[in-house]
Amino acid sequence: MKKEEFLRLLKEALEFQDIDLQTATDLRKIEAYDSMAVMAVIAFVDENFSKRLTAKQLAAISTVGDLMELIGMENFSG
Amino acid sequence: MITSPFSLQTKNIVITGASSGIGRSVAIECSRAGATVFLLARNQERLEETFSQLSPGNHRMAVSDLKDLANLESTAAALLPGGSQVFGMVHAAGAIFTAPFSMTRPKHFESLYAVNVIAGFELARILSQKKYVDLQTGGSYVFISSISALHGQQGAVAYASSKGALLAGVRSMALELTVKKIRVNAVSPGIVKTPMADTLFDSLPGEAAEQLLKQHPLGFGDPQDVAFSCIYLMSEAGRWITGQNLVTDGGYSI
Repeated sequence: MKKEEFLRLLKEALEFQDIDLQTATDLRKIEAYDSMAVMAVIAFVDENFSKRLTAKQLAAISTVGDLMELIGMENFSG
Repeated sequence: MITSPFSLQTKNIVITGASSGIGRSVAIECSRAGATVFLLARNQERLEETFSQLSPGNHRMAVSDLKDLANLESTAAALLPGGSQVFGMVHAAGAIFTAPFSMTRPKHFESLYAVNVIAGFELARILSQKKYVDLQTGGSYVFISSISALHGQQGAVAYASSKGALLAGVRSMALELTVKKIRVNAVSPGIVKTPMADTLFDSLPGEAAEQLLKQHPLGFGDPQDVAFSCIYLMSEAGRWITGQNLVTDGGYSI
């Protein structure tokens, strides 16, 4: 998946339309990144990459780039 | 010999989802209570593991994906020895989907409803045909619902609504099947320590999991706790109970 496409879909899944989501964006600094958003990220990754992350794994990362690393960089291009 | 009113001696019972969690425990405990059990599940290896833990008896098992609704009738026929009558059924097979409502699509409802609801109702329809029912003794069917059918939980719209559908279906089915002396009930567990609960916890931050534990005054349940409720409903002790939902939740809903 292209990086831009990933960022667009993630924004859509999290309903973060008003937030400029980039790979360097620190998710933990976003007020709306709450427990439901964590659940949404898990469902989003499962749906798009068939990979089941845990809330524990997500608690240990901060940026969107970290999330991409968790998913596996081999899944991304561009 | 005096038989306990909680015995399942001489009763044939079909159990779905018998390869793990609640279904596995129901299978084992029913066999210990004297029943002959007929097990259905998708995973052969784990089903065999359940089978090896049963108390001795003429038990049988079949690997089957309950979503293949068209094949359910032939699966039941193959599972049951010719001319068998079935007293009990426990529909413990179930799927879970944890995600915010905003990400819950028709396909998620469809896959959950297919296993959690429709397969269970279809199997009950098949087993309640006269050829499988002893009209003298009747029968007792139990559907494993969930406390989420009664109490809202975030991220569980598809799952909770499928379990609520079971509760609604149970009441109508109970009314229709009294003519065959078949009782129909549900058991609604709180959180039980099963592989399915692990997938729920994987989606929850640590503090939310701790909060859930606090909401269960008697702690999280063991699969056996739910199995005992099923045994009660299928035994002679439960003979005047039909169309009900036996909440088995360690005090979660108090």
